[in-house]
Amino acid sequence: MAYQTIPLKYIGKRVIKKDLIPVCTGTAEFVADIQFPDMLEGVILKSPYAHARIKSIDTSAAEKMPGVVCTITDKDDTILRHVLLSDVQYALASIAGKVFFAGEDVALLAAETKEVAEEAIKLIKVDYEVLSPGVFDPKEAMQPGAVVLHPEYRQLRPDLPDNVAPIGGPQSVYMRASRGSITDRETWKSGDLATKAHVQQGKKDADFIVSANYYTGAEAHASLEANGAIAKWDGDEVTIWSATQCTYDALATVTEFLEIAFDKCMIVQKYTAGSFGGKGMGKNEYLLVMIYAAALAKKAGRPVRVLQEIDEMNVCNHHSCGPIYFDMECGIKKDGKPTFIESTVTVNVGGVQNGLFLAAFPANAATGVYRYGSVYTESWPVWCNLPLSGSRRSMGDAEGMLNSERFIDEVIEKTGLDPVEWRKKWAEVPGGPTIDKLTWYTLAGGNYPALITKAADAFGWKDKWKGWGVPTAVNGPKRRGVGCALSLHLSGGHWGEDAAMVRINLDGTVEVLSSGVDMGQGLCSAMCQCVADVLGVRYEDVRKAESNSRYTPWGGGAAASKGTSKVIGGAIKAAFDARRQLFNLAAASLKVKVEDLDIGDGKVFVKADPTKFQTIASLANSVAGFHGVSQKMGFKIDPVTKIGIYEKSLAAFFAEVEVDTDTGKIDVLRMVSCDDCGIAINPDAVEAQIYGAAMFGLGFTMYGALAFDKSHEGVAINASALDYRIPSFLEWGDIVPIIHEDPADAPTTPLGMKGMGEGANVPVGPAIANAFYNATGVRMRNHPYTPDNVLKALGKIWGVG
Amino acid sequence: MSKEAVLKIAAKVPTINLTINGREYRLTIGHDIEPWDVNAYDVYPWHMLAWTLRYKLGLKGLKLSCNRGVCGTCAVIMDGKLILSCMTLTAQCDGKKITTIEGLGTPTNLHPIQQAFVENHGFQCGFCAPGMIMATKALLDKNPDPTVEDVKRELAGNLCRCGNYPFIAKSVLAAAAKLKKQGGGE
Repeated sequence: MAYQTIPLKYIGKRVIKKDLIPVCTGTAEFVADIQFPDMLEGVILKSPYAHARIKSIDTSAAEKMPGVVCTITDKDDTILRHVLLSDVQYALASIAGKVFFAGEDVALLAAETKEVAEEAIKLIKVDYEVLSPGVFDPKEAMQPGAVVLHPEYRQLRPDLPDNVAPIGGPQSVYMRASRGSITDRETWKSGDLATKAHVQQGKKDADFIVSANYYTGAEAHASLEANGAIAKWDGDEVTIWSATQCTYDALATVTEFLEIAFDKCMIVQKYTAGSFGGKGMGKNEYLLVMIYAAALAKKAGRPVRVLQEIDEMNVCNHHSCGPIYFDMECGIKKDGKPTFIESTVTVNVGGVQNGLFLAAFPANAATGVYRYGSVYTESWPVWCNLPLSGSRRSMGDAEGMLNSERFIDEVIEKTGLDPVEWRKKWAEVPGGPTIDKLTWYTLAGGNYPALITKAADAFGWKDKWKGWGVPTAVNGPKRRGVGCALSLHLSGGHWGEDAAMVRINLDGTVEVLSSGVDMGQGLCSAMCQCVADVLGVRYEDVRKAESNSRYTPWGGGAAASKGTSKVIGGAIKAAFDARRQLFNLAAASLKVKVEDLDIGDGKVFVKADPTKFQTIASLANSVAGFHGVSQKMGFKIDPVTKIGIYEKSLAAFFAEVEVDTDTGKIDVLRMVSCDDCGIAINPDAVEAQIYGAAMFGLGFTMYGALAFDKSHEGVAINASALDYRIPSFLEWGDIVPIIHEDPADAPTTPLGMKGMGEGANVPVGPAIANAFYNATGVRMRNHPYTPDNVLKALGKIWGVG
Repeated sequence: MSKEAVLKIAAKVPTINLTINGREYRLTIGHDIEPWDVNAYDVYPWHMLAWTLRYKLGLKGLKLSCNRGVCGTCAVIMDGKLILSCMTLTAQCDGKKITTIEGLGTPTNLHPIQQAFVENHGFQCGFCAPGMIMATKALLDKNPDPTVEDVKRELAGNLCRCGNYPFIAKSVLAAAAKLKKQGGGE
């Protein structure tokens, strides 16, 4: 069935998001709002040391305190285990006998009240043997003689420098730890990887070769909703109320740790606050919070809630991929042709995890989005005594493209060409190579020249840009400049659609069962819009069921910008299945051919004579209700090249900044963001994502880095809610959102829609950075752009800026 | 025990009287009780208003985030002024009149401010919504005709991690227009 043929009644309309009334009246029930009368409060004891052996743990004093119900340590015949390098990486450090970063979980305790629990946990005596000062920087950790965190894995890969994490763990050492990925435009489609000789050719061809080293810090998600979960056992079955972004990912990890079967565990998610990957997939503190609640509840025999404070969450949760180094080299001809790019990425993966994604994601992005003659990228995931790196809004790409886009600005400057015109000419085109997890795919769809033209016109680039090294205005110490950047991010990646079911109720209303998670992006409402249009019913009559690992079908949840393309994509396919069944039922009942029927206004009717119809309610009643279903799909293969094909989320971004060269303060005056979403199902929600991404990216660029203090066991000294800044109303300058719609840009999804919430976040940082250079004439290769770093870069105070 | 005897004992127990969303509450407060005995008194001296409202009185529309007076998520209106309930001891609130998000409107009978936020895509995830809406109410109560600059300055203490500020400002201005149309108030 041609998906594009349905009349669009709700798709594309600014409908009211279904969760707005509940959140505006305070009736929306988030996890922290769920309570049971006999519920206990669980707390986690954290290690104060970055690298230590746990010699013994004594919980007796804590257990004697009135109000304490139970503790869990390695002495328990515990359901928690520590699996360092398998897919489920770590739980209580005490089970491994070692801690690898300050803030790692050592013991658990449940008590009647939070006050008691917090007092009692202080009475747990842990005898630590400090092994060595920790190592807190990935490049330092790779130096000969550095502290080795996991010596037992060193012998597995003696060829690697110290502390480099073998990807995939001991079971899959066949995967190379630092997979170099290389291609050139002539050979990549043959399936053969090019050799490094191609890069050598690029070096010979270049008129200018630029190399530069960049650094980027680690950003906290700083969600307003702290990590929290509630577990309640019913015999041998557990229910966990959770704010997870990925219900089934959580189910897999939680059941593995608890050593129970999938059918013994139900994970319920209804409302999740904007989490930006903090409660997402991969290895993270949030999964552990769910596991700990379940473990404590099992031991106590009562429901247990583990609810962290924001401060605790920011210190211990995983953060963006960082600290991270990018060592870049690029060649360009005088006419602007980029002959090659080479990048080496060195990233902290944290104290305990295998580093699969960490190795790959930033390295994908480090090479940028242009038609280079050849590309070589490699990545070094390194164990440090720091909290884990992991997913955060536009994982890897926000970090990688902050550096590739500010680097390419340096390269373009050599030629003297206009940076906008250069980008328009040399940006990647559909059918070209795109990289994901260090593997090459075919880029499907996307139109950079259209995006950059629209954004440049709205921004007024031609009038504002005065040439390389010329600020747009100078007023005493204040200097203004403009900059731009392009970006590329996943739109669900090579994942197939989530499975979905569309239930036709007996009264003609529709319930969509999907494990998609709405955390503000408007996924559930957009899904209802699409299903309403496919089935010809009212938006008001479609409901998206809350995500529940027992009842809603398999799905990946909210991750990798797949909500629109893959989760809604699955729901649309299920709705078409329901539509097909409705047509068959109506054809039999009205004694006409299926081709003669159409659907709308809650009825299936005869095209030639709309007075002949059956309502959806009556059709559903005739078979006592039914479901449309869609199954999870594999990813698309390009029929010609046999290489995976998928579209990505494209964006162009312009920024104008004013730098006070006396104080180091940067004001972002104006931002223009042009984002490609295939079709905008709800333009309000798309614009909200553009605004949100601009603010999020601004926060990341200007102050979004955890300050790991080497003299205090690597604890992030700015992680508390008080110190960790997130953008407020005052940082909001002027943001101009431009939605670029062309369904042809998303050819592999039904209706031609794609994700953009993360993609819009990627180019914000480099555009601000390039505007900073235009204003000041100083390349800042550090991060974040805080006043002290800015003054260092300007040479006004001592230090590396 | 006679009724008189019970009342005599009750009179000795210090209480805190609150009027919340027009309803009166009388809460006992104790200081001689170990903290694990959660049911002995309604309020302990260290309890913050946010805790009392959420967990003792069940007004969970109010959300708690930073617990440090940074984010504004827990904002409520007390005697006409916007306060942060996570930084206010319940024991300090005797005799106060408090309005929370539950006191504004219900899903079937929205307050004009809530209506404006619903119609203008005012929130993404909505975790900051209760605090943001109370802050908007406090702003519009004293300044019924704010400019965008007023909104930015007055709501700067309410953080929205989703960064929905442009839509929030649009909603606040729409709310002001709605209230004006209605004759400047509820």
